Amino acid sequence: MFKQRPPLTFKKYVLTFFIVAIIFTLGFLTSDYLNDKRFLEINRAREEFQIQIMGLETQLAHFKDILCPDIGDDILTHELHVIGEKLQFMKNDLGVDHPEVLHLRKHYSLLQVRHHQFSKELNQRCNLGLIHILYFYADNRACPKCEKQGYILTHLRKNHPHLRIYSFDYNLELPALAVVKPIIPPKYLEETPKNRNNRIVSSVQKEYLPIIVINEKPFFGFQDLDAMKGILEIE
Amino acid sequence: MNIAFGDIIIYIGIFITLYITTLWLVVFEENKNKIYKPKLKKNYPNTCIIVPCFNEEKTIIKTVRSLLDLDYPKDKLEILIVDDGSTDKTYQQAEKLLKHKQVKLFHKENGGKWTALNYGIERTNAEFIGCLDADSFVVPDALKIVMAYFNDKNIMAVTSSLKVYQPKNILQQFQKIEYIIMITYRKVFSWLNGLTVIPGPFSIYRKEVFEKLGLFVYGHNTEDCEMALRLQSKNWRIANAPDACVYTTTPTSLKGLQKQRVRWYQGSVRNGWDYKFMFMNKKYEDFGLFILPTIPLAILTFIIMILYALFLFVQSIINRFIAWQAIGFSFNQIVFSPNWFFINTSASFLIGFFVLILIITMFIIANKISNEKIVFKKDFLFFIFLYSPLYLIWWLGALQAIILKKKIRW
Repeated sequence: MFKQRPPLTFKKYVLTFFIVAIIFTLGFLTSDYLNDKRFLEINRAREEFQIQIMGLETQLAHFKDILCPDIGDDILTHELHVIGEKLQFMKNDLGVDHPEVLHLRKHYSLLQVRHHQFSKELNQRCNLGLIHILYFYADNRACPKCEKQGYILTHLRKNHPHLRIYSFDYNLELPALAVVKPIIPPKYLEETPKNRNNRIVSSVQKEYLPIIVINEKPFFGFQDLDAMKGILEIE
Repeated sequence: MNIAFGDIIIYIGIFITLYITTLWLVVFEENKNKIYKPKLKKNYPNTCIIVPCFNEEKTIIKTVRSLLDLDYPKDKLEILIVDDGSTDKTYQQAEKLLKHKQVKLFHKENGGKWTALNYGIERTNAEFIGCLDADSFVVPDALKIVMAYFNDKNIMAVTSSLKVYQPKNILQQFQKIEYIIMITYRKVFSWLNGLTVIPGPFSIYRKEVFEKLGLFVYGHNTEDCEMALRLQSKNWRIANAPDACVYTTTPTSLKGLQKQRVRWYQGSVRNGWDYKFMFMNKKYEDFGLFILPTIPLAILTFIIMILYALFLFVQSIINRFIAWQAIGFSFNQIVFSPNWFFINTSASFLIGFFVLILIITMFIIANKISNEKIVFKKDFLFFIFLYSPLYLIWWLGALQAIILKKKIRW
């Protein structure tokens, strides 16, 4: 009768498994290494930003109006925006709850608050004609139209250099945000369901989110491109 | 490291794909020096090639001529044409070939390809019996190459290397690439003793196969798959001759291709079910413990990966649509940043990219083994992005046919 199959050759299956395991491990290690490098880059940019803004704040406090023709916030605004973009990338890649991402988001929010205060003061002193916009967003469940609002604000920022737009996660647990958060009108909060911690459940936040504050005046709910142009009086 | 539930499914998919691809390369590396065998030079055994045909008036003469042109002693090669109740002029065309002593022509009532094959098998005394579909053509040295494998007494059947005959449109070009990949795939699977199909175009069997295991059966219209599983169920070996080329005509339209693939895939699932006793059965060694369980797993992985890719594609379209609704179309939205920071370096992407490199390596090897030169960049990219999603449609069609218990026709 015919010879049967050759004996079992588990060796190659085990060998393959080890090769695959090594490739997987290398994949994860490389990814982690590159993410660490990214965090390092953001942290360096953040520290550099802090040094620069402190320097400008000091100059502004001491030399007052004398510096006006030479001082501006353009470079700082650009750097702030670059940090924001990088952080957004990390948030998309690693998730909103990643501890390092969350930590950096809080830092970034504080940088924005600080830049906002500096830029506002600079605008008043030097009459630069800047318009300051605070944008409060939330995740898709709490604010289904925030994504669209984000596109509109990015579009406006790219086309109108005098706009200073700062975006904040409305639900980010950061006490310092209270300084810039607008007061929600009672009509939005009356008889709204609350969770165990007595906090408004996110499903009702869509009634008033997104919030856009333009030169201290809050606008609740989605504002389309035409509405935004009307409010800002721009083309 | 933060991995969401959806990512776990992707990682499992990547793991399976990477495992199969790596195993393929490991087996290839192990055996690369024995891809080809020298041709048979003496002791040519009696061989019979059966050509079952149904309405093949356009190709029957060319098919048989390719057999007549085989570099093999004429007194050792018998050609049986079995007209399976054709309604066109196949029989009349085939009659023109009767002037060759090697050729015999039979006519029977239509009963399906497997009945035509059995009709021929019952009418020959040759030691080796082969089949050539009437829409396929062999190269002259194919038989000498195939027969050399039978010097090993353990080899019970040998399959050839299928190539697409004169591809005319883009769909056939894609099939050409697919068939080239399959040549290498089949060779590697033969080294693992894991072939699950003995294709109709130019596969040769020892006569003992039919004497001891019986003739062809319906096999859900994929009798070639059923016969391969029958051989595997006896632990009998099937070899593959990658340099024994046979050219076959392939569907020219999406509809025709869908029909062919649904038939193949439903047949493989249904036959697999009929032979389910081999799954995870150590009696069948590598085949039962590894090859058979891997096939459905690989198919499932493939379907999930394609669905996930479609999901991502639809999601990006929706995002574009939302942006378009908000601000209108703007080229500013399409931005590519050269900064390394924004390059995707998630573990799944990095490993997935590595898998893609391995697949391209497989394709280069396949090109080399099959002695084909494909316009690599354009065709291969289109093949990956345009042709591979079609597998999803074919598999869904096959699964639908199985669930609804539909009988699939040729």
